[in-house]
Amino acid sequence: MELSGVDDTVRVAGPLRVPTVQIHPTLRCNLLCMHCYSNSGPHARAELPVAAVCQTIVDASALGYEVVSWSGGEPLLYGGLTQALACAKQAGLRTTITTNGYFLTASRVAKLSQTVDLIALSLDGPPELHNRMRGSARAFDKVVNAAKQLREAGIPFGFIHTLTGETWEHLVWLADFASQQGACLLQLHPLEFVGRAVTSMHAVLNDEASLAKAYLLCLAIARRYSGSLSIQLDLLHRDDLANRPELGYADNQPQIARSHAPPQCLSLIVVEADGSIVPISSGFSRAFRIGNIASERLAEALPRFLMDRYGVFRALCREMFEALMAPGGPVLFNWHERVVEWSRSSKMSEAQLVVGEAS
Amino acid sequence: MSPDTSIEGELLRVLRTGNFEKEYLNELVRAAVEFHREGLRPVKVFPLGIPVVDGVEIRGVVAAKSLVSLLGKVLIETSRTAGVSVFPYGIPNPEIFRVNVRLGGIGAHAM
Repeated sequence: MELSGVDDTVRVAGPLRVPTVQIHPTLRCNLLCMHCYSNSGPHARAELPVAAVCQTIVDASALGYEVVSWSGGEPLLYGGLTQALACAKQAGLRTTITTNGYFLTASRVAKLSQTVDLIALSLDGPPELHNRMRGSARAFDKVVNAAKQLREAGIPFGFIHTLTGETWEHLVWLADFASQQGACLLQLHPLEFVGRAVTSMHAVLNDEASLAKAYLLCLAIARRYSGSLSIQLDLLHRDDLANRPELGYADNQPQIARSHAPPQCLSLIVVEADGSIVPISSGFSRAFRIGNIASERLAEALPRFLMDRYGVFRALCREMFEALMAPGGPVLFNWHERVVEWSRSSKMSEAQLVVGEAS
Repeated sequence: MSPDTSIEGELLRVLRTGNFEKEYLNELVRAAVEFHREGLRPVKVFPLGIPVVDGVEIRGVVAAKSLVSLLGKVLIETSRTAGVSVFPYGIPNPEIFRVNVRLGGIGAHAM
């Protein structure tokens, strides 16, 4: 089992093993999921210009990033996806897509087979629960069909599950289902209380006990499926962070920006649907925006961010680290969600905004 | 549908129906994290005393150089440790030990 942050091969800073650029090319989606962190849905129309996306991919590869990960919105509704995937492959990057599976027909899968390394299918639980969360009576059948198409095409795939205070009880079912479908990965990502979840998921928020139960169940599940199904739980334990603060960029080493390659300073950057480039996760405070691909290249924006503002970013992470480590702090937590929340509420963000306005 | 009698199925039943204190769950998780950090792999979690569950056991394999540190932390920092057993793998792997740590204190609630 992999737990976020318990990764012995981590390079220099951050919880991610492989330097990754995550792209949300559109917020358009055919579904209106109850837990959607980005408020995606059929109403959204805007999408990133494919030329800018391709330029960003080329720049990311030149900077040393190794994976481009597509999310959304529903990325298969992005008109430029085929071109952008081909561009990523040409640049030598590995590619992953997170999708609800609706549009993975045999012909679409055949087209993707040359340019996608891994597809993650969103799965909320057994049929009734999945369909309820997705607001569609056909959603579960679509996932099953997508898995069949991917299996037959030989494209590695996994399932990504939004873990809630209700769904930890389905973890055994989820692992069994994923294994039966031939998946190689089951990723469990705790519900984030943002986006549509704020209005519709309050009753099933994770509490400390449900996260602990999920953690223990994952240990048992990982044992059963060892070697065939990788279980990834996106939780960090406070002891792990205390022992390895570099996992949360909290090891007081902002100077690495002057001596290390960008991916070693910031292992995950995110391109949001409005073109903003932010560190770590979608929703990160715009006060720490690295740039915008609509108006500048990643190759220029990221080095500038690392030179000028990386120190403040690291100070923000250190500030949150100290808050987490304070007596009475949480035992298990979704570090990504925490740092996004922190970035939006810290006084450092206000100071950064003032600096940004002045410049 | 027949009940799931696998280890993880039993553990799910225990966690679902047991009236666990938050502190007990946190101790279990902390012990598992500690084992992982000391190189104990794979970490396994088992309910004990089926059908009347009265504890949880965490099992794994650890290198000799980490054994003293691990046991020190388990015995001192995990207050509900009900028993520890260490089995040397012996030749041809004399530097490897299997460690089972039992954490009790669930009580009669976990039926």
